Amino acid sequence: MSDTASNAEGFSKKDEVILSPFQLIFVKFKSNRLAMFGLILFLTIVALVSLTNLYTTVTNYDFAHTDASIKNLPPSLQHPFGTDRFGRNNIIRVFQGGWISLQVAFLSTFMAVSIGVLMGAIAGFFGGIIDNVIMRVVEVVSSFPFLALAYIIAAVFRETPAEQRLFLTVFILGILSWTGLARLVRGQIMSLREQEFMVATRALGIKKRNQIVKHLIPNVLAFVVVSGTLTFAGAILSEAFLSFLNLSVTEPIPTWGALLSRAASNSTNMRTVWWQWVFPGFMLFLLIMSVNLIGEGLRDSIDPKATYITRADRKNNKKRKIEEKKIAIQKAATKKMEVAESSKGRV
Amino acid sequence: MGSEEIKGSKTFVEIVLPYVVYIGKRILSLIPVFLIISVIIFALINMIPGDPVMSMVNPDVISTMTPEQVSEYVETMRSFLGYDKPIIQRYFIWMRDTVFRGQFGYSIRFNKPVNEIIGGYIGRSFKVNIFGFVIAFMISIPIGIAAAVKKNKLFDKVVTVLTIVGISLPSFFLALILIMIFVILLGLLPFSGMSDPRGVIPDWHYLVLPVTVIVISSLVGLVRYIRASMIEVLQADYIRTARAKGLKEKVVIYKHAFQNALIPVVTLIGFTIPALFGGSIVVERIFAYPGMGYLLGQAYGFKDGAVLQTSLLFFGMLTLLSNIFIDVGYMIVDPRIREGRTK
Repeated sequence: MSDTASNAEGFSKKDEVILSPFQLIFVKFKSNRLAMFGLILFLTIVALVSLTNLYTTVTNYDFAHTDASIKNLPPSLQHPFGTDRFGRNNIIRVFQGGWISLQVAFLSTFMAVSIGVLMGAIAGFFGGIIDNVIMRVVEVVSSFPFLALAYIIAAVFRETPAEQRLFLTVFILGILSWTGLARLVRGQIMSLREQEFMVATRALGIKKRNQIVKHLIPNVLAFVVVSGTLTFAGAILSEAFLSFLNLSVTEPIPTWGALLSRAASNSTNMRTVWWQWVFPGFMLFLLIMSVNLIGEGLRDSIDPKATYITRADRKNNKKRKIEEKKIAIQKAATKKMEVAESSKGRV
Repeated sequence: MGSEEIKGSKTFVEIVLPYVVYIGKRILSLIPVFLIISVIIFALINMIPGDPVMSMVNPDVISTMTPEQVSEYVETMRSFLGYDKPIIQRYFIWMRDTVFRGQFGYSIRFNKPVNEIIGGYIGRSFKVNIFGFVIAFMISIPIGIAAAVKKNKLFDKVVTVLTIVGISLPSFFLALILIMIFVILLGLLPFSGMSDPRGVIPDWHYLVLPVTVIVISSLVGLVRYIRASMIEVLQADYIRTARAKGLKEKVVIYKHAFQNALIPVVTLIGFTIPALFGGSIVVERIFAYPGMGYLLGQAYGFKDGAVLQTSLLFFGMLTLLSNIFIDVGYMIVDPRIREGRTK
C-alpha cells in the first residue's frame, strides 16, 4: 500500500525530463559514489603532483642535491615522508615521481588510443585484405609478452640521453598497448557498418573518410573512453614496472618504480627505511585505483541497461525508511499497550 | 525414422574431422605470423648495444694474455658462437637450427647449450604458476558466481570493491608488502630463493609467498570475469523461461546458468596457458626465484641472445597456440559456434 503511494508521490523530475545520452551518462556517473570517490582521489593526486612540479620548476629544485647530515631520517614534521639515503626530502621526490607517471600515462594512452581507433576503424570498415593485414599485425604485437618486449626495446635504446627517456617510455608503451582497443573498435564497427544509417551514408555518397570519422567513430566513442581509462591505468603500472627495472626515466629524476626498487633491494633496507618504499608504493596504488574506479564508473554509466539511484533518490529512500520505521515502532508500541491492557483485564 | 537414426549417429571420424581441418587451417595461417615474429625478435635482440662476445669473455683469463692472444681468443669465441657471419645469414642459421634441428643456440650467460638449461627454468616457473592458478580458479569461481547472484547486495559490493583494490595493487608492491608482513615482522617464511642450503627450512616454505602473489593478482581478474559472464547469463531469456517454468532457484542457478557461464572460462584457461610457463620478471626477481622471468632478467643483463631469442619465440608461439586453443575450446563447449565454424 505505502509503496504505491510513495511511488505516485515520488514521481521525481527524473521521470519527466528526457535526458540526452551524454546527460544520462553524466547523471549516472555522478550518482555512482565509488566512481565519484575515484574522481576526487584522482583529481587530488593530480593537483598535488602538478603543484609539486610547479614548485620544483619555479624554484629550480635540484634533485641531485644531497645532504649527508640528514640521510635516512624517518618521517617527521619537517620531512613528512622521511629522507632518502642521500638526505633528499622524500615527499618532493615521491610527488615529482608522480609527474613522470602521469606524463607517461597521458601521452602513451593518447598514442595507443589514436593508433588503436584508427587501425580498428580502418580494419572494420574496409574488411578484406586490409583487415587481414591489420589483424595479423595486431596478432604479432599481442603475441609477445608485454613486459618482455618492452624490456628489450628499452634495452635497445639503453644509451638514449636522460631527457629523451620520457618519450622513449611513452613510445614503448604506446606502440605495444593499442592492440586490444583496435580489436574492440573493429568488432564494433563491423556490426555498425551493416546498420541502416550507414547504408544511408553510402546511398548519399558521403566520402569514406567522413563515413568513418563523422558517423562511425562517434558511435564507438563511449567504449573508447572506457577502454582508454583502463589503458591509462595499465600505462601507469607498466611505467612503474619499467622504472622498477631501471629502464624508464633515470636518476636524478625520481620515478615511483625506481624509488621502490632502490629501497626494496634487500631485507634490511625494507625494514629499516620502510618510508622509502611504502610511500611511493602507496601513491602508485592510490593513483591506479582511482583511475580504475573512474573507468568502472564510466563503464556502468554508458551501459543503457544499468540502473542507478541518484543522490536525491537515496535521500528520499532514507527518509522513507526512517518514517516507515517510526510508524512500525508506533504500531508496535500501541500493540504492546493493547496487549498489556488486555492482560490487565484478565488478571 | 530410419534416416533420423543415420543422421543422429555420427561416426568418430565424422565428429573429429571438422576439428582436425579447422586446427590444420589455423596452424597453416600461423606460419607467416611465426616468421614475422621471429624476424622482429631477431632484429631487436641484435640491436641491443654492446658486444655479446665480450661479455662472455672471462676477464681473469684475458689479463694474463698478450693483446694478440686476446684478439685471437675473442675471434675463436666469436666464430664458435656464430657471431662472425653476417646478420642475415645468422638469422637463417638460427631458424634452421631452431625449427628443423631443435637446437636453440649457445647461452653466453651459462656457457651451456640453451636446450640444457631452459627446461629447468620453465619447469620451476610452471610449478609455482600451476599451484597459483589452480588455487585462484578454485577460489574465484564460487566467489564470482555468488557475487553475480547477489548482484547489488552487500556481498557483491564488498567483492567489487575488493577486486578493484586487488587490480590496482601492482604485483611487486604486493610482493613487498607480503615480505614485510610474513618475513620481516612475523618471521614465518624465508625471504627469497628456492631452497635452504642448510636443508633446515622445508622447500615448500619458499613457494608460499610467490604462489600467494600469483593467486592474489590472478584471482581478482578471474572473479570479475566470472561475475560479469554470470550476470550476462542470468539476464538471458532461457533463464527467465526456467524461472517461469517454476524451477527452484537453486536448479536455475546451478544447472541452467552456471553451465553456460562457464563457457567464457575457456577463454580464461586459454589466456593462462602462456602465463603458466612464463614467470613475472619483477616478482621472480624480488623473490630471487629461478624461473623463466628470472632467466630473462639474467639474459638481458648478459645480452644472452640465444636465451632471449628462444624464450621470446617460445612465448610468442605459446600465445598464438593458446588463441587456437580458445577457439577450438569454444567449438567444443558451445554448439552455436561449432555450427558456424564447421560449415
